[in-house]
Amino acid sequence: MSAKTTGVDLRSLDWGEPVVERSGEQPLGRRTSTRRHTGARKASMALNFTAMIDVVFLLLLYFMLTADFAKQEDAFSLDLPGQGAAEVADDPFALPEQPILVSVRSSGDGRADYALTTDSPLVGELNGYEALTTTLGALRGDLLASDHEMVIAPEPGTRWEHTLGAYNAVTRAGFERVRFARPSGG
Amino acid sequence: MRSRVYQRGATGVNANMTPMIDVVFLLIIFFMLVSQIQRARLVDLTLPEIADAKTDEPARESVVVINVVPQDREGAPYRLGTLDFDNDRAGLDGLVRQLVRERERDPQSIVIVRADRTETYERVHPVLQAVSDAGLTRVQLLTLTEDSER
Repeated sequence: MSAKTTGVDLRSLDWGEPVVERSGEQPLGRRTSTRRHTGARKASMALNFTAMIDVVFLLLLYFMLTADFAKQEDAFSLDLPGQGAAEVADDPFALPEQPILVSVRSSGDGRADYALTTDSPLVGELNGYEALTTTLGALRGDLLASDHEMVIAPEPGTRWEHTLGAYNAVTRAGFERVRFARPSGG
Repeated sequence: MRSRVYQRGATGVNANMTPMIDVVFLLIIFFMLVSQIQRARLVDLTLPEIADAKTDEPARESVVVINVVPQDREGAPYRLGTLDFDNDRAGLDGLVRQLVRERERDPQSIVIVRADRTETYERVHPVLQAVSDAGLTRVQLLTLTEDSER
């Protein structure tokens, strides 16, 4: 849009006007202004840089703003049970089915420095998220309903990244009711 | 382009559109920028990166963003917009009150929890507890999108 208005500016510098004057076909009734401009005919060959720079800055700003510099973020969506439900679920004997506790422990600062254990005899040794997903996925449908309650119980000092990893492993196995336990340390 | 009729008729009163359009564009960009800043409300964190994550897009509307500020930074551990909350009884009560206010404004509010990957679970859990205490149920826990996927 601004490029077009730049064109209008250049026209208003009367590039073609002297030709029109000489041929005498279309006087345009602007004799006085034409005379004023013919004096600056050499200067009129220069581009109008102000408008161009304006437009270039606008384009620069526009593309800088629309560029997505921030790293893309994703989200785990979950429904927190209300306070009352959590209280009931804290007492395992009040429920007909006992929730499976998945404990997470961080052993270091790295992404892979974690250990997973469950309190269920159905699940054996686990060496990672992948194993948890496949084991639980195999149990689901046969021995466990997909709405069987799963509890992520991080041990004291467990890192958030490992907690979310365990959460992801359990949801990927197809369980719908996953909740986070109160931290046992305090 | 200016028509010849226009040139002949209204001499001298034609407005120069170029600066006006420039200024209008600048205003548009300015307000775009401001609205982005309003939406950001974020603390600079390294979110956890989870392999093969089964995640959704973060919600854009009716969201409440709670940032868990890392321990080595200055300031209170929990930040909701411009409000800071301490990790003690008074701070968490304040957080619950604020979340209740958000719930009264929009019961379908989604609480987005952003926590650093180095954070311990003990520091994140009070936020989940506060959300639960405030009667809100929909929560999103943010992670970093894996580079290999996109």
